[in-house]
Amino acid sequence: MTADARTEDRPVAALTAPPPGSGARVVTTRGQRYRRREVLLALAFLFPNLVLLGVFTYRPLLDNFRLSFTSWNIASPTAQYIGFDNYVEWFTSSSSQTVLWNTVVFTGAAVVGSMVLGLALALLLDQKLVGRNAVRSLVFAPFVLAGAAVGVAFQFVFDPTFGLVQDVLGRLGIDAPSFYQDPRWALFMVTTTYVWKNLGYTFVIYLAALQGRRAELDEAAEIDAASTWTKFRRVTWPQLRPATFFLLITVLLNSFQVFDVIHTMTRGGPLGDGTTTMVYQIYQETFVNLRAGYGATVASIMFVALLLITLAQVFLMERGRQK
Amino acid sequence: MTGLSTKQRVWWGVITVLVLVYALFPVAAVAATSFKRPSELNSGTFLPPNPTWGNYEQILVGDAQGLFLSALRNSVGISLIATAIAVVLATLAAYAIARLDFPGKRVVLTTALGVSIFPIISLVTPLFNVWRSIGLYDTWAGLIIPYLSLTLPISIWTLSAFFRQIPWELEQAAQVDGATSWQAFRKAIVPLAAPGVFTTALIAFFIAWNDFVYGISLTSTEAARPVPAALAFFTGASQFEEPTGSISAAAVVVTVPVVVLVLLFQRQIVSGLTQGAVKG
Repeated sequence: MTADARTEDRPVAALTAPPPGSGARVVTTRGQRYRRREVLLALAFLFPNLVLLGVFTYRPLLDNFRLSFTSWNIASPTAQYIGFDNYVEWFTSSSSQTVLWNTVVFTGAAVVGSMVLGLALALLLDQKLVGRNAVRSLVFAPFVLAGAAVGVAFQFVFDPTFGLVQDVLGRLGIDAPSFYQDPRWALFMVTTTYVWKNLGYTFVIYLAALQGRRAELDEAAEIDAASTWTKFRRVTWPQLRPATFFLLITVLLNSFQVFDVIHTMTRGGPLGDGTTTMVYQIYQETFVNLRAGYGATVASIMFVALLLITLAQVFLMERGRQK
Repeated sequence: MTGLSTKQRVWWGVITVLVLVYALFPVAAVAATSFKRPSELNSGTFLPPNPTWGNYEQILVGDAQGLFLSALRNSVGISLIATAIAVVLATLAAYAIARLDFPGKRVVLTTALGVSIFPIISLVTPLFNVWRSIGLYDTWAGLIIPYLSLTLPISIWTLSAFFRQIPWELEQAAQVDGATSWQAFRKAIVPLAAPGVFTTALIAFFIAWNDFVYGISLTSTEAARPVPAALAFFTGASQFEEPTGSISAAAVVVTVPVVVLVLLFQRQIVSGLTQGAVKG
């Protein structure tokens, strides 16, 4: 490996000319010196990764932008250039409003719901008690289950004839809402399902943050006899800020893109677009309605939206850190 | 923590039970259905009146095995291959990032991690188009490649965080003690790096195993269709005619290995997911 070559004369190298035969050094504009061997090795190690990501993610992403300016039936080999027509259509059509609303409700509820509940559970389970590891595993597990399997499982929870919800409500003498017919209840159903799955993630991140916090601050607060709420707000919460920002970014990116749960549970219905979010609309337009150009347009709009939201969050996080 | 009061113990017990109910009720719902006979599905009861293995026989040795077993084979094969390649490539990249000095490190890292904010769905149509023209549509390779771009960013991120914490001086110390550089690497560094690599492999495997968007868009037959896509093939649209029992059994079968892995390696998986999250 390079370890032997690495340490020999690094600090001196800047002061003296390279010894003859030691190989060339790459000097950048900043005057920083790199070992040629090290740079070549790094290049060789990174090359396959960068080629894969370049060819199979960056290039398709650009291709998607190109397709968004076309009218293209995915079954036909040629796409026809139509300028901004798709964009005009999306921004003026009334169904986009429903789709946008569904996306905002689903994403917002998923982010807030899973973060609040995840934090609550983490606070509750941050105790050194018997069986806590098993309990933690169980709360965490749903996060790594396949969304399609979770969707299937929750179909049996919400099923109108033999589901768990109607069974329990029936015993209490209450009629279960029609989760599969009423768009609002359907949206509630898929959101709840996703929150259940995603809670495992917010929970473990918050739990790790809680365990990494400084105990002496807690003890100081205890000596001051602060109330539980004051202690949480003044001592614990500020220490959870990095975890909260991290979760806001990652959970939002993930929830925005949920497809499997919606596909297995409702196929975007009822009433056509009852639970159709942007991701689902993209799939529907491209592979069901065969309007791949229009699907690409919605995908481009979604990409730009996600990029702007993420940049704004990173900007706020950096500003928050400087304070 | 010792000296817990009775009241606290009771609270802990209540909390535990509530958490168990919360985590297990959907599992119970799908498991209960998977043991019902077709005639019992609409009986209105939650628990199966006469539990049966019929649905499992159906998907493993019966009529539905063609669909399910091939999907299971595809899922296992594709996920394992994608995981192996991703871990090897990510190890190389993470080593370069954590250990080597080269110009443009920041750009490389941004390029690799930037991918994780791309909506997967926006890559599907262009890939579909290319795959169809070069013959990768509905093949294992046609899924392995997108799974690599799905798993590489998080693998590189997780592994470089792990590698930064390794005390690399140990390698030189071993060499001073007379080991060859290969021995030094194998005896001093590999044992320290192995847990990080293992964790990364687990996370990459879960991502590939659970993928749905690529699985459903880039396949059309049993040749490559993975289990999550196969599950969806029956569900949703025709809610009242679907082979409910088989689906629930299939959902249970595909979930069990994941749950076992979580119970065994919860700590490793979580340590991977929280790299960089908590330290900010």
